[in-house]
Amino acid sequence: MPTNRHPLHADLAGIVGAKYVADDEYTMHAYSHDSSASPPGAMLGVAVRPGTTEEVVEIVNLANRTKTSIVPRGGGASIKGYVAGEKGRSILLDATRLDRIVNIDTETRVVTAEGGIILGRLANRLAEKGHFIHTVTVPQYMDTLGGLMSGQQGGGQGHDNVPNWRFVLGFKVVLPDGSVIDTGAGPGRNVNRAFTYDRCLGGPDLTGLFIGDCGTFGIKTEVTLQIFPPRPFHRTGSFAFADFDAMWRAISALMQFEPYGENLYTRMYAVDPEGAALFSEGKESAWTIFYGVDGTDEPDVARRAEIIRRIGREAGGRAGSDALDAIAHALYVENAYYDTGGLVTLGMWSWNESYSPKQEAAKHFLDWRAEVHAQMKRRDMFGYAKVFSHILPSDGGRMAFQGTHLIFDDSVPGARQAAFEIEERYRHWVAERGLFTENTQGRDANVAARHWSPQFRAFMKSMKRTLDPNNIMNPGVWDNL
Amino acid sequence: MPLDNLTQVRRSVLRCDRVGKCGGWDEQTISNCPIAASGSGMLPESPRGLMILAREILEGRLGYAKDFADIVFRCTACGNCTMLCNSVDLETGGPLTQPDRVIAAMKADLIEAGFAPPTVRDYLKNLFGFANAYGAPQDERAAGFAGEAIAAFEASHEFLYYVGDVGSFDPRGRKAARDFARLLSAARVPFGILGTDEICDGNEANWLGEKALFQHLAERNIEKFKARGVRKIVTFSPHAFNAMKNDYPALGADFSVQHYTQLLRELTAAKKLPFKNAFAAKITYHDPCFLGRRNAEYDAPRQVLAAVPGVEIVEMARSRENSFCCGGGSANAFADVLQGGDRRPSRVRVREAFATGASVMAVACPQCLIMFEDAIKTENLTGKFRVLDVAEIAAAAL
Repeated sequence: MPTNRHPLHADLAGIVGAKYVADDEYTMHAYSHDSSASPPGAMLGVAVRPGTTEEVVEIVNLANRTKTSIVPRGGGASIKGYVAGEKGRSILLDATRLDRIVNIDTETRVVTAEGGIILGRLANRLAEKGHFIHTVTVPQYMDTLGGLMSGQQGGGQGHDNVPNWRFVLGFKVVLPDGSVIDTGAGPGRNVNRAFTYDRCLGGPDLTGLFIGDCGTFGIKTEVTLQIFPPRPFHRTGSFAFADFDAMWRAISALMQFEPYGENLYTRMYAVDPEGAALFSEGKESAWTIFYGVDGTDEPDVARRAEIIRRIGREAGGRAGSDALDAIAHALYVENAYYDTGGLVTLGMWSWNESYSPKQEAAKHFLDWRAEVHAQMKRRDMFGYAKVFSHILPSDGGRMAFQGTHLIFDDSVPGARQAAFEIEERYRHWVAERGLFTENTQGRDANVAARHWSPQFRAFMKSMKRTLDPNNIMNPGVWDNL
Repeated sequence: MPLDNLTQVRRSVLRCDRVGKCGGWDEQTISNCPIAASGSGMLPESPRGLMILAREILEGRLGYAKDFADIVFRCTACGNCTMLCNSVDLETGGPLTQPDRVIAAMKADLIEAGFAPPTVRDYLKNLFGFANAYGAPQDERAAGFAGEAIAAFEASHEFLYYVGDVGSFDPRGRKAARDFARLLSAARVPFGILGTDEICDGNEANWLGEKALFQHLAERNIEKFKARGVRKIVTFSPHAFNAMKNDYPALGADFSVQHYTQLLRELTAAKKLPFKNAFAAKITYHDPCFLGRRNAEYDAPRQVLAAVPGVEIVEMARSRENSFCCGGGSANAFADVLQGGDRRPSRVRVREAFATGASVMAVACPQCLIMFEDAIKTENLTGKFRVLDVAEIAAAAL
């Protein structure tokens, strides 16, 4: 539906072809939404779908020449709303045409793919070669690789309950001034290594600079990740506990087995009784730990599963029912975790998650759980909304990743606003406690930036000005930068 | 601006969580939406984008317009989006949201607002004025059976053979429809047709959101069937099968309805079809949306083909519930709003079928038949590759 309202429409069409440029109101309305309860973002001026890094460069150069800001977008999977862009003027850069797999090298265990590739597709192609990547667990059918790197700190938390930024080896980035750099060490990278890829062998970790940057430091057109060989043996199971304290005792004990030298479990997810009820479709209602053990041989997974069972028993848990065990199996073996076991399709979600240091994690978990229940009760939400809370170990047992999921019926008048208000409250609740969210995007990033120290803010401003002298790349995501 | 139809599916619109599962995420699903596959990939040209826009319209931030109609009417009602969404309402166990129903509701609103594309308007005018998709006089309806010993339906017949518009008016469709009649005769099945008394089944009108027209056609059909003493119907088209099986009962129908491949399966299993010749060919079967995804009938056509001597079946990568629409549904076979150049779904599908090494693409839907017949010509595959209806293949072996 080309309308040619935007002054750059013709120029952009000259770069990518007329087919991949649109500025009609339907296109711009569609792109104003992410998948969250947040209000729509600004109605930007024109949408463009480049198909190559070179086209991205030309678009960035055009933006600089005309002082027009760019809002990069991956799968539109932000769950934290859009806050960037200038109404009627900014360029919405839809990266989803950059969807090729550049190279899969199972010898040196790396994959390089373009930033707009959908994660599930990349995972499937790797699975065909018997490999996998550590990725965020949900939702695989919408997230793009570049979006994950920019908006979810390298891809959230995946296998082994490890933050996935550890496994990012490098980017090809179109910087805000239109130049292109390859970060990391490896063939053709900033530190040229003939055979191997790494983040910073013999040089600075430039890759880290762009992880979780909200797309403000550049557009990631290629991502190189570490891949992992298959672990074909699996054990899954569950534990039910009478109360949170018992469950937390088990989780704490299990966290002692991190870091990776004693990799006891591959995945672990603990939920409150409401979560167990949702996952089991009402069959169970207990504080529950789901676990999965992947390994290279049967004795190995059997040994590790037995240790987990012993810890669970000693903490006062009982082996989960068949219904709970079936959920663990579905989540961790059948990969239903790709869409949180199907729960993602239950209604509109509001995600309130953060990382806490281990010693404060239980308190933060219980405090926010009580708070969200109180907030929902005050807003009379329980007639049309469900909530569950989760907690799981992260990053070598140093931290817990915890939070609540609020799933609501958006057809109820006022529901979205109520969920949004709770989400906003959580953003501030997290920032005030010095915690941090997994999502470095949208409103989360905006609020987090308000709590930066003066020194850090000054540093970030300096960095942004250096990289982006015309302030064209996703301006406004970080508050007052 | 009328929003009556969209308002009726309000809950489906607002309970969509916009995660885009409906659009697919891998080679096997990512381009199964005919709009997305034939378009630019811009967000509005996807089920997810259309669901977002439905919300924008419903909540008053956006209105209907002709440009929007040009996208919405490209939807072929193939059902891929709703199948992939697979959202569940825990309270009812039913679907939480159904993008295909939402799109049909928007089509209905757009028609009422006068924004339907001209070719869609022409199609609907034909249904209104002539009770068939072609705007042809009713006395031409049975011309395809001229010279054949096909009886007019009587209450003593076991089956009413409902031929449908394409089988009645399109030359290619007529040939295939005639072959099915020959198979019935060969198996000594007592059947008859309505001939010039047959009218359109209304399935496409229903999926275009023209509920009143659909109801009018359906009620006329039901009345005719009852008056004639019909008990069992066998349809040539999956579209008619879908309407009569799933939508007619709510309007008072109480007939047994089968797609013709289901009846052929019974006849081959009972060894009632006297196959004397081999049909030696490698064949790939295309699942029509209204038989497969919408009615979960994947096996009957394959079993019929497998029963034909000489047939070797090879599958396309996209098959069964993951089949890729021919692009003809929701009246696109007649109105052709979808278009798409070399990415037109029918052309893409023909290329996929040809790439299997098969020499024949089998279909069980007359709309697919005419769509692929055109696509084979456009792809310059005439003489190298052909599309045949399952009935034609089976009849050739008699």
